[in-house]
Amino acid sequence: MSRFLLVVPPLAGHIHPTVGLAGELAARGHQVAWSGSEAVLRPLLGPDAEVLATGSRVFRAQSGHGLAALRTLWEGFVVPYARFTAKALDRAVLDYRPDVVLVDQHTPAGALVAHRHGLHWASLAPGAMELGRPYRALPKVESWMTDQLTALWLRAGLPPRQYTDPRFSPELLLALTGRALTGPQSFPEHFALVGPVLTARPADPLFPWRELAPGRRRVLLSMGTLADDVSADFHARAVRALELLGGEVQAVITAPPGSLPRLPPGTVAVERAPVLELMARGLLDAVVCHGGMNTVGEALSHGIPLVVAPIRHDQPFVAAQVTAAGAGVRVPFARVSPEGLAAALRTVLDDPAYRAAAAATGAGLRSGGGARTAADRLEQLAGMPPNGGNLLV
Amino acid sequence: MNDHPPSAAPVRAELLALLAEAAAAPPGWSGRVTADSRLDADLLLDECELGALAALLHEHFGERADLARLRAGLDLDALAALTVGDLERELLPPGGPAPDRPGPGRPTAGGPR
Repeated sequence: MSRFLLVVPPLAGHIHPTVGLAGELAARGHQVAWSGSEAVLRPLLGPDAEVLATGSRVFRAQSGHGLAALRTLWEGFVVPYARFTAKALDRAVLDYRPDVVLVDQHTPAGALVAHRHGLHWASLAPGAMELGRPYRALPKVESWMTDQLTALWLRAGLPPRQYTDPRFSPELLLALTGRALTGPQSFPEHFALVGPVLTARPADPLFPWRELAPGRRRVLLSMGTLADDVSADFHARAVRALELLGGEVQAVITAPPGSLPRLPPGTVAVERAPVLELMARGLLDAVVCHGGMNTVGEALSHGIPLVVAPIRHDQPFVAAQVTAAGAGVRVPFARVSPEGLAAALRTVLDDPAYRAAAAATGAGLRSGGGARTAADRLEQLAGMPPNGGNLLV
Repeated sequence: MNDHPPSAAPVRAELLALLAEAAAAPPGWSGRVTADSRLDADLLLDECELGALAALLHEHFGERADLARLRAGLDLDALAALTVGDLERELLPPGGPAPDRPGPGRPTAGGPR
């Protein structure tokens, strides 16, 4: 039996996959705890999960697009969150005494603490933002990111000569994606591309299952948990596109209450949908999304074609990979017209080649093994001798 | 890059056409593009669309119209400030498409890609 500490940011899209990972580890007899914002973690993990709280504070909302979004991700979240949680994470490690710390790539403080205590640590890449290096063509932007990580390392009092990029564990990186979505680049042996975590989530008794009309093709429209600030205008165009498609298509839309215009008859609008269950029960014919790795990986794993409207970060690259695989159509989030979006949806709904390509791509993603392979690799890491001495022992 | 006075000068039609193609823009979009439009914050071009624009510029204006090289030499602030007018000035040959004509001079950009 080993003890695993999962360090995650207060973002639902990053936390959801760890639920399946933790479930697989627990089923094998291991102990698992999370460290992060209890206010965010508790509703997503349930009352029985062990949470070592780091406290909570409000971080600046990400700007909508492009380089402004990149700047606010780092200067408004990654760096201040690392500073805010550093001491609490240190206490969490001392209290919990984990054998392995699994660290989300956007919570680098977890890696710094693990390094300080000589613990094994693995990186968790829920998306391709760091793994795919979407700014690889802009060396000054990449060095701007590295400079901030180096400053965190030095601020933590760690020896400069031991600097290790806290996004990339030298021992194990678990990426919840596959080669179909990362492009042709090669990765080191200790990068495990395990594909999406498809472990069933708790049932959602509030979802209006009875409103799903038989005989209509069904489309899920989900623009992610981070994008509310910029998705309102897109939602208006998307709703108009659904009207253009007429009564043959029923939409399930996930969006905050009150953020949508008047909807076509029969549309199901909810704040959160049981996406995996809808997919697994064969109730979706297409998905419109922003290109977040979770939604894309889950849709393809269920053979569902996509219309991807990328907003920022790694999403344009994920959209490009989906298009290259023939598993979907990319539309420009900021510019697509209702007519253009309706045409894209008709294309993926009517042309069976998209569904076939989605199924083939999804089979490749599933072959990564998901939570099972991730747990195998984490167990192997836990069984390795300490790195120059576990200082907690 | 955007350290020049605001310009109301019209953007060359061939550059507007390439921008619209790279952006997969709907009809009428390019009518709102000016020399002062920033590629990032105003036109909302993402890295993939900018990659497509770089390929189109190279195809139409020759190897000296190297947008990728120009951007590779810029830091975050300069990238955010990069305008359509900057592209005209730094990358396009004077007068129109002429792949075998020397360009207006290399930008100061550099660095590995």
